[in-house]
Amino acid sequence: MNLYKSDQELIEGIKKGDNEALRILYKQYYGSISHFIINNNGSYDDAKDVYQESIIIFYEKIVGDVFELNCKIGTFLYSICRRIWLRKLADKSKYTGSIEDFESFLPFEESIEEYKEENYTSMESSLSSLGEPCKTLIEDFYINNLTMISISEKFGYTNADNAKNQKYKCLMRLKKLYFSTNKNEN
Amino acid sequence: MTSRIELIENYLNGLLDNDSIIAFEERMKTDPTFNAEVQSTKLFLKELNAFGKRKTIKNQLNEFHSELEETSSLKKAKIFNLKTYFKIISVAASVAIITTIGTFFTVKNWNSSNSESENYRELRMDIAKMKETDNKIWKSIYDDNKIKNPGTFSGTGFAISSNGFLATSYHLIKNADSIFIENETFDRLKVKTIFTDKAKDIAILKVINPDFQNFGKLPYGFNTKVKSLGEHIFTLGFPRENIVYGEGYISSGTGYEGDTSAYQVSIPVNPGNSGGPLIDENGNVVGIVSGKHAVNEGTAFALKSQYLAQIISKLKADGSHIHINFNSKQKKNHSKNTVLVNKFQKLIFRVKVYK
Repeated sequence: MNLYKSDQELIEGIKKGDNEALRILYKQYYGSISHFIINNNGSYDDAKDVYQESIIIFYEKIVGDVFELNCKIGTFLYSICRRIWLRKLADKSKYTGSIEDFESFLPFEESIEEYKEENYTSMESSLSSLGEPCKTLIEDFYINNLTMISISEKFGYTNADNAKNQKYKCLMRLKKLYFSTNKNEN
Repeated sequence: MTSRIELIENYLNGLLDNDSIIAFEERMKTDPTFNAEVQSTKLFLKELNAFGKRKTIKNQLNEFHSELEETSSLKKAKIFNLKTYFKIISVAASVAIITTIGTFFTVKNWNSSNSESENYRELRMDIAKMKETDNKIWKSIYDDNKIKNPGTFSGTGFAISSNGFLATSYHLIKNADSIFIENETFDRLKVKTIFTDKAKDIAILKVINPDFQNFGKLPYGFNTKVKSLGEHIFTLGFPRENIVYGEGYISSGTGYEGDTSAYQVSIPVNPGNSGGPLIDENGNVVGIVSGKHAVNEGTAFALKSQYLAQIISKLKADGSHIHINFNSKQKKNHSKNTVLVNKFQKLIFRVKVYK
């Protein structure tokens, strides 16, 4: 029934880029995490956000070069979520001083949060202020991994070279936008 | 004509030919403005790629999430903000509490003697019944008259910490005058009750023999996550004088009459199995056997181990020196149940209750 019996197999599957492994992972632990968030002053959307953030951290860790998991995946995810949620509660100053735990967790040091949320949001806002057709063009090439040929067909350019030139113009503008917003923030 | 940014990207992606690479790197050395542009482009493209990857994953996760929503009943509508409804809820809750308590006492007065439902059978063992069958064994073992009184009831209990704490069923030890535990490894130890919860049918005992050292390292872990249906489990208990192994699977996530704190398990259990651990294939305790359906054979019930975990953290908070590690273990080499059983049975005890 289940191709991935152990945590190790699941991790190997995700490393290989198997979408199914990621799907199994995602569905397996959502219940307990949402239970934790909702029972600790969180909403359904909070649960989804925190959980997805933790999955992305986990994903980036395992596809990254050196990462060794010394506990069960569930414990790892729970621990990250717990940490993220405590931080978010503190930000919203909703933290009541006690948190109700449902599982054992790892006392993470700061080492775990290499998740650069700010970079992500500033890239997103730069992209959206880029305007069309640049935004879609850049997204198609850098995010959806379309080829220049299919992009030029989609946008109605006469040939791939024209599309390419347009792409670089857009890329230049995005770069400027990105560094200007990023600098303002810092 | 290729633009500068294109050139830089091609360089970073390793798409230039050898001559162009040499020229490019030469220019980086001699032209600081150009070098700065290369570095910033490099950083920017790295961020863009990271952004792209993350965006792809986020989309995927959202897709999984909507699948999850479709298949399960979790819907936004179900979760409402407690604060908004606090007043209404508190009124409703008080009404509910009063009604419940009222009903509870009324019903209790009606059938005062027996609070257990008729289809639920607790699995403590009446020693008198067992005595006939095991009489011969008794004689041979206790010929030295070490023990005169075999006790009133017996069941099973298991160590939950190396420093002498055990878990068992409440119904087994209720109204006990004195309680002993025994098995082959530790012989006979006197215990006292530390904690009881009648509703959940669980009790925590502690060894009080002065010469007792410890149980040694526990060979099993505890898994407090809810197990899925069909998961294979086994139990060890004392439905007779010797330890008995029983194997089965989790057949429902709720217990007797929909009790969410328990599992329904399909496992052969008999009087005396009460209080025994329910162990999964990885060697983690996932529950405590509590009773069985009186009519349907092969239908037993077990308290989920998350309640055990809750109780233990409560005890810890109250200052009990209970050393317990609630980490679940993962079986590395798929060791057979027989191996697990051999390790475990040293820490599973027959609980004897005197009244």
